[in-house]
Amino acid sequence: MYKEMILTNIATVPGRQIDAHFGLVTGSTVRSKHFGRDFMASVKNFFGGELKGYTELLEESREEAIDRMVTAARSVGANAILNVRFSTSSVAQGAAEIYVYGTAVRLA
Amino acid sequence: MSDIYWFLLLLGVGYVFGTKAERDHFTELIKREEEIRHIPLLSTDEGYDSDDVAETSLVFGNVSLGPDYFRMVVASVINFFGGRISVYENLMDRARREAIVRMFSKASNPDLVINLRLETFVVDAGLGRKQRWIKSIDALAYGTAVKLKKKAV
Repeated sequence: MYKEMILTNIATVPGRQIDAHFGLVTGSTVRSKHFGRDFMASVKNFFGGELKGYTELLEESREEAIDRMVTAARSVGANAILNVRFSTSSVAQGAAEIYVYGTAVRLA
Repeated sequence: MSDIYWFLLLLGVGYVFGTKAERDHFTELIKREEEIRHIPLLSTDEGYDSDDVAETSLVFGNVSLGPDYFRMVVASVINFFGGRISVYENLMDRARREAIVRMFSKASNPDLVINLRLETFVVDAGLGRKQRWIKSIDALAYGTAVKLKKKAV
């Protein structure tokens, strides 16, 4: 459940009937880190271990992309999104585009 | 001449800290995976009855791990001659397992997790003279968490 919208990455919502299909809905965001995180990451690269700055950056980006997709689905009158898929790509040095897409439906 | 001393020092630092970080991470992963072992994790859309489902939700977990200087140097050497880069194999394995464990920690006690998908993404970044001197492996694990209806005893 995400802000009253049901999201699944399978083709159905088990136990519920689909009333209407609204087609593809998507959300995307492009983010890069500020110089401070870059510097800390480069230092960490000597020692190894988790790069918390990047983890948080990508996690927040994904949540924002989902948020945008949910908003798009709500605006067409859907109350669930099926078959959600993520796609990550590099667009510029140190900037990643998170793209999330799914099929918006209305459940009975 | 002092350049070679710096290089060896960084190599040593990388080896010591990196090996320790990797060993500690594997130990911690085994412990946390033990805690979630009772929850079925499937990459397919099955293992449940549609009538029994109370709630489904999308869950995802991600982590960004970086290699240490020693591993990066070893990888470049192996890269030159060809062969298995086992130092990076360990890193990728750790990253994916960590992403899966985090996905579970974000899901609130599901009965099972289905349709697991794993994605890995390499971030090559860095400002300044040496472009792409930050290397980070980002692993994403996402699936659908299923909560079954409580059966009346």
